[in-house]
Amino acid sequence: MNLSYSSEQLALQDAVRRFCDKSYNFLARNKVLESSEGYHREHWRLFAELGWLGAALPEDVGGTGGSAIDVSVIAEGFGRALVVEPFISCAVLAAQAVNGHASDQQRRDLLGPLVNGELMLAFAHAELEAGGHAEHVATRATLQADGSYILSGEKHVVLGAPFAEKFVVSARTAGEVDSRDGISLFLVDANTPGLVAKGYRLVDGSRAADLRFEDVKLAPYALLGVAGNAIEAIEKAIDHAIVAVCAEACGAMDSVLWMTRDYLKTRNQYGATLNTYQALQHRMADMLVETEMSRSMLFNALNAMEQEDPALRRKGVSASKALIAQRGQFVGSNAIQLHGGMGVTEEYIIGHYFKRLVAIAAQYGNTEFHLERFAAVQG
Amino acid sequence: MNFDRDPEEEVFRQEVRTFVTEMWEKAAEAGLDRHAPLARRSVEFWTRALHNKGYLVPTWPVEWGGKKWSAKKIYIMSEELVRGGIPDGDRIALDLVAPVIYTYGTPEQKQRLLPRILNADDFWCQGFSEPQAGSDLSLIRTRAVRDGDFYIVNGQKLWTTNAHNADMMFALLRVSSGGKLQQGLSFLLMNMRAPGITVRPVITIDGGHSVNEVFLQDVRVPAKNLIGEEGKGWQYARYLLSNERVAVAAAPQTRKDLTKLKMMAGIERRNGRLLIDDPLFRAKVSQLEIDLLALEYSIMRMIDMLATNDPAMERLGPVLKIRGSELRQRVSELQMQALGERGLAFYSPALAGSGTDQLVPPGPEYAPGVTSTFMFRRSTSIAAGSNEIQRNILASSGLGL
Repeated sequence: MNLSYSSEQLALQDAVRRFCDKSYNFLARNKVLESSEGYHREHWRLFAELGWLGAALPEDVGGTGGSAIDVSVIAEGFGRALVVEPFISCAVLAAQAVNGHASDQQRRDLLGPLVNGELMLAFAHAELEAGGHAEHVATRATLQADGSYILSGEKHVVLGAPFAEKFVVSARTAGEVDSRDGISLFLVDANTPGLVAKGYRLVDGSRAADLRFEDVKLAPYALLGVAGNAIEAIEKAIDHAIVAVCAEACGAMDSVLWMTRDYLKTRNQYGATLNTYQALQHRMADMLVETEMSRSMLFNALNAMEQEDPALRRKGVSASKALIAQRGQFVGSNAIQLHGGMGVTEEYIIGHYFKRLVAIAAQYGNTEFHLERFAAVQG
Repeated sequence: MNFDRDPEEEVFRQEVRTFVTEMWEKAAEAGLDRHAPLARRSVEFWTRALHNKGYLVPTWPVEWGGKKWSAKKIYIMSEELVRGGIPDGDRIALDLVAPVIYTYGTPEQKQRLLPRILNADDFWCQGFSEPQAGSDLSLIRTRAVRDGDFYIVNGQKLWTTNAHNADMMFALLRVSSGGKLQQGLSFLLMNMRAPGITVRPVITIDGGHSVNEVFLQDVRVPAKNLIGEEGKGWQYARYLLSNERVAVAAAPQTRKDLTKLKMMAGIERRNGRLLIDDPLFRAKVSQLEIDLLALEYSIMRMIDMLATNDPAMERLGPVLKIRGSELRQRVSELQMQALGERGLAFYSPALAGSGTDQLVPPGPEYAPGVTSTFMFRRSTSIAAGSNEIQRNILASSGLGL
């Protein structure tokens, strides 16, 4: 076993850090969040130029042919700097769903422009009662005599939806609501008649939407890949996204740990700087322990992504998500506590890290879901 | 020892419940917005209604509207008022500054200020903390320099809750340096309309505005607004900070939050069943409920100690604050988790109607405010004496370490 990054990956790490140092101070980030667009087109173009959008996509669609490891390097760097561009929801989650299930022609037609920064996709899959269960799909696509489909149902908390020009939508073409068989993927234009989107903010300032499909008419070619067997590709895409947010959380925890350390050395109360108080030293030590454990579990997740057996992959990813989600909140909330009143203000960055860590904990299945998914696989 | 319910107390409990029902009807007739409890009109209405009934200030001296009720009776009243959703009056005025005024103030000060507090004519804010003086108030730097019949005040206060709505501020100000830092502080009452006072909002991570920075530049404060003696402000502040022993645990509020949590879990569905039927979730709710029971019994013990002046109350006080604040946070967290991924949708009622462009997430009626409240609750373990300080007190005074 060798857990070191390749020289290309180290170079990638460096490039991401340079981008964040140059373009992503706290004020710049907030400006982006407050803008009506919600992300910076300049940044997205740069990501495309640098090959980051295609980091884990194959060369035949314009990607760099890398793996989840490369994505994790980028995501960790983004987490460190609280980058808000929809890298994970678009270039990881939606892209991997297309890559894993669409036909070769469809993959080239969609992922080529995506990798070039010319097409934004969002993955509309999760439904209200699914609670992380990928096979829970009530949205239906009914085949018509002329080969078209009528799509109806609701999708919730579609990450990055307000930016997307097209949605990759999971819908059932056969089977009961919780059946693994019968789930298909469709490409739906954001402007399609009958598609009602209600956009809103999440706690970390990012954007999402609930989508309602009211008898939306889809052409035959809207079907991506083969009908009815998309579940494996869906689960794999979600696992890609989970590993990416785990990496993002590790970056965030690391930032927060050292910022808090620096703060304690400057804050003076009762005649001494806070770093000299043993109770606080021990608290920071605990935060360091959890940050390190989380990083270790990131490697577990990266290993899981290389498993051929999907059940083993799911088990490993769930273990990492469950742990990193919990510990991320632990590190973030303690960072706020150690900052005192300042930690609870909007104008200081620590609270924003906490909000991102809270969001990551709840996304793609909460801790309870992942504990169960982990336990469900033997061995 | 006797665990029987006191029939007189149960009669009283019913009396408060009846009052609650009647007052909500009156509030509706008065056209009050149930969702804007902090609006001036609302605070005035409820303060006056409670005072009329004799429920506003049971702990005050009798000549100012207090009752000779047992701590138990007072607790029952506050439990029922919280359960009935009765909006709070100005707690900063009623619980923090008023006791200082009626204990250390001159007859003129009492006459001038207490009736206005009782009638919600004046809203108050607390000017203690400063940027460099959080837990350690001896580091206060804002100066008050005597000039004839006035003090000239210069400096800056921070974390001033409600300064943006307040008519008056009570402040700890430095009148002399040299010697122990805690000496040389005076307790001064300031009119927030005086020239030289600038209030700047400090938005908290729930997106709401409750605290502020207050800048003081050459503010003239009449010397008759000095409480007690110059230089003894620290003593009066310590009295103020030690007063709230029972309320600080916020048990009635947490009980209300837990009730809402169970309601939510009876509607939210996960894994094809109600959340409350999920064993993992149910176990978490049970844990919280058991911890709340422990807190409530601790409050009963504190009430007994207050009645008998038992010195053990010094040890139990910080315990109530530590456990009460942490439990309040945990219940809030589980409420947010009960919403699932929906819980991420961020809606801050604090910004509602403020003219800010707020995208309101679709969702159930009980959802708005859950996540923003969870964010704001991070302050519960920091404010009113951080839990670290509370543990220091337990270690030194409680355990003699």
